Amino acid sequence: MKQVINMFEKYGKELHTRQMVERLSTSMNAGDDYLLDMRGIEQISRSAADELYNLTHGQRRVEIINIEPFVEKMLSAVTLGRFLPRRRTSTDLPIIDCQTIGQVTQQLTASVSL
Amino acid sequence: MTETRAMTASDYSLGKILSNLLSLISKEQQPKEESDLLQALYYIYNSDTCSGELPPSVCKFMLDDDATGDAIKHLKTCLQSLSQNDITALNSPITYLLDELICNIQQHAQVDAGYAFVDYNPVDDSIEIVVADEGITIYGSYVAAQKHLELLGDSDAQALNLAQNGYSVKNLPETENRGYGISSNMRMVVEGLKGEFAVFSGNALLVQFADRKGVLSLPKEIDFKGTMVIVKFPAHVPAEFDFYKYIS
Repeated sequence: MKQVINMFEKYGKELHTRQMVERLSTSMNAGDDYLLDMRGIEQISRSAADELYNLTHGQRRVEIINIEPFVEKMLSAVTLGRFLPRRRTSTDLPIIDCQTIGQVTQQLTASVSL
Repeated sequence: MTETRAMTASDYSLGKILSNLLSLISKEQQPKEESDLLQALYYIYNSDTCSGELPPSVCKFMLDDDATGDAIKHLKTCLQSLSQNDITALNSPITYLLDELICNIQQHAQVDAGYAFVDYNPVDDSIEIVVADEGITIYGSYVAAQKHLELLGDSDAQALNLAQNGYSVKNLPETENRGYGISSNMRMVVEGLKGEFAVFSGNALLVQFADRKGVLSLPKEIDFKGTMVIVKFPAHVPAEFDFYKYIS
């Protein structure tokens, strides 16, 4: 018999923190099966979604159902992040050594770019 | 007789505000300008010695789960009430921004509380957000985790460069599931929302504006014992903005 956890009733419509999901995980009994009903959860942070991935791919038998569109996209993003090599879209930025406040001001406000 | 002039939109650019902040810090002067953002930044920089009340729109929040969730809801409600426009379209990016930045504090700063500031600036029709902590700095978090030390050197500036490049202190051995906080938000704010992004940590300041980007290694008298992320973007979402592009 699977235990159903209504996430909306438990947490409201937004899941914000990794620790929230970690606490949920530690509250679960090791031998039981769980269904996390996500209906009504409209927002989830990347870190909470990442921890949900851990929860559903770890030792415990946990499934997620009734996933709202935004949450599904965030879960897809963190799942892809697990399997694809990181695309670093940024490059190293120039480091400018400013010895005086005048130099800082010039870098921040002058029309000349960094 | 001193004549005061009304502040214009250019006075509220992030470059100008940060320049004023650092100038005030170096001269040990208090801000006089009518910028709430500048007041907030100045207060947070000096929060260990300030005994007065928090400035308007600054909130100090504890980092337990319930308080963090409540703080994010409170900040979004404040912002909606301050704005003259409907900012519903900004709900997802603002939530993502606050989530990631507050989570960074929880995960890395080694503190019990953080600071946040949200405001709507009617002069340039922009939203201003600060998320800050008095923690171990970004450099300190790499050192504490003993990660990327070969790239880090001994400078706060290089630590900011690693952070904006997505180098996490907590990646799992076989995956790269961490390190998105600053890098993805910076892209979302600057490229997607046509805004400005800055991170002030220790002795360094990372800025990315439309016309300039770089990391400033600051004069030695400037040293923030913590990290603040300062963000400013137009209150209207560009038509071509695709939120999902920045979370994947």
